Amino acid sequence: MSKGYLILAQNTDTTDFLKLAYVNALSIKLSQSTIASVSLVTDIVDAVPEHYHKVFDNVISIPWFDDALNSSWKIENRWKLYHVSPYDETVILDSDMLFLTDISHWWKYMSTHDICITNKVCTYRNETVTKDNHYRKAFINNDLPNAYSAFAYFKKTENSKQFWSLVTSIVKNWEEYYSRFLTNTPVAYLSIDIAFALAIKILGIETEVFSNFEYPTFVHMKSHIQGWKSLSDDWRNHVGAYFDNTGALKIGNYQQTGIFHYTEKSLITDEVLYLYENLYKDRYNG
Amino acid sequence: MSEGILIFAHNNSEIDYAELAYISARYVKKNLNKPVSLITDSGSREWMYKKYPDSVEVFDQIILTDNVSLSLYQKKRYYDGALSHKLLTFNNLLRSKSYELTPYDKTLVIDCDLLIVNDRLKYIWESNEDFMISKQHHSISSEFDDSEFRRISDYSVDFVWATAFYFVKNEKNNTFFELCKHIVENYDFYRFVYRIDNPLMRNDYVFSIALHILNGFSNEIQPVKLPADIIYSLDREDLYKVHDSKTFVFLTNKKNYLGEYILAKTHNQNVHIMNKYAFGRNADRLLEVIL
Repeated sequence: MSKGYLILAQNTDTTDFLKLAYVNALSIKLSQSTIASVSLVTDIVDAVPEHYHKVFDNVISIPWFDDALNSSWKIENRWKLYHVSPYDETVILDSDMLFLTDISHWWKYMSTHDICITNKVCTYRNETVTKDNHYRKAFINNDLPNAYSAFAYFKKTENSKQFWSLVTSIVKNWEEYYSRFLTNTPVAYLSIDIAFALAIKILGIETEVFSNFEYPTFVHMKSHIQGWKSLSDDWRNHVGAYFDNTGALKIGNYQQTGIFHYTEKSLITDEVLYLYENLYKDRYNG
Repeated sequence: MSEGILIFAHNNSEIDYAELAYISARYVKKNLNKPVSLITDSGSREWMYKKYPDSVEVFDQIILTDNVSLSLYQKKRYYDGALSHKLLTFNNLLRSKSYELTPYDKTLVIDCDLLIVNDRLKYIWESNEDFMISKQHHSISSEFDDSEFRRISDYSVDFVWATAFYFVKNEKNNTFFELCKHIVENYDFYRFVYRIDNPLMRNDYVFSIALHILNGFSNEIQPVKLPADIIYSLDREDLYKVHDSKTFVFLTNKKNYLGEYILAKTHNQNVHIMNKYAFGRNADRLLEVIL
């Protein structure tokens, strides 16, 4: 059974998501002991730099029409990941993540599921976020399962196909679904997290897709869930990010482990990019 | 292996820390039945000898630190209830030298303003753990916002209470105390890195930082908690009455009403009385009820 990570990346006017996906892939290659295959799904296959191709195991074109053509967030193609994944078992990832330590052992547990979706995230202090009243009001008030699509596992099975079919329907008809299920706190934009949550709720598969263990999880650097009193929207106004020459990362006083979802895209400066590229070259003589 | 309790006390111009240590020693001896040693300076010791001649018998050993480095003097605001305070000298940073100063193989270190009134800490001596310290003590006031005691600053690491801790002499703990000393000696740097706003160097901060560093800059390994809860009463509160050796009545602050108080009682609970003036005012009574 082939296993690997799949990242959808489409550049926007403001962000080079391809670059973020590339650094994410570099971090996977550098940190994962067994499952380290990474594939990229993008709308600009021809424009993907040659050295990116060396890192990604597959570079896949978004199939059919680009549903995110007029979108600024460009998440409308996420439902296609099920169809284009080259793996029997896939973990889909957001681009703006870094793998800092080996999480290969998670796969053994995730493989016991058809679908395994993150339902708990941590602060940079590795404390589980118990109730996110800031970003997840719609989840709490509409009684939605606490799904995070930034790290989600699926196997190509009938159950999984059914889930993804419903996700597809929700993504394509989100206003209709939202008007029906998000009545307490309406949401005015498409969110894949909400689409996943709705699909889980409608299918009644919460106990099947959520883990009872502490993983899968990731450090979620949304500012308002870090447990701080004073706040701005950008966490870097409060704590520093410090990479050492091995690619390890400290946030404030805390060494980061596992998966780090940095959310602030400009964290990946050219300096960070070169750091990871050089580490990769050193490791693989590339 | 020898077992005992260690208390630090250095008087300043108004607070008779040695007297507090003497009272604290009497309570802990009664309830834990272990020898107690005092770390102090010659001035504090002589004053204590005059006031309490039997302190020679109460303490197993009195260890003088007149020539010990790290005797840093700071200025600290000492409150006596919510509305009164004075700026006095504070010499309380020898805690990092506990490892080399203790005469025991297994040591419970306690603040001199901590009254041990039950025997729950006796379990430490039989434990397999070599280091115990608590991250959480409990305010006597249900209205107190204890966030200053949850982290050493909003963005920084978890707060641990150096008010009471237990350690066994071994290489690992030697490393811990060596690191504590290093932090004390380079405190300006660590205060900056750990985002500590409070200019006063506290043992709690030093220990919190050292534990965090030794845990690989993470929370993954939590320190083993002492097997007894500790209640604290702030220096902005008052010890109102000592009923008996296990029952105390405090005046706790009324939220949003500065200088107004609510009564609160503790019974058979270890209490950390931060108001040193209040502790001193009740010294005679505290000794009377322990006899």
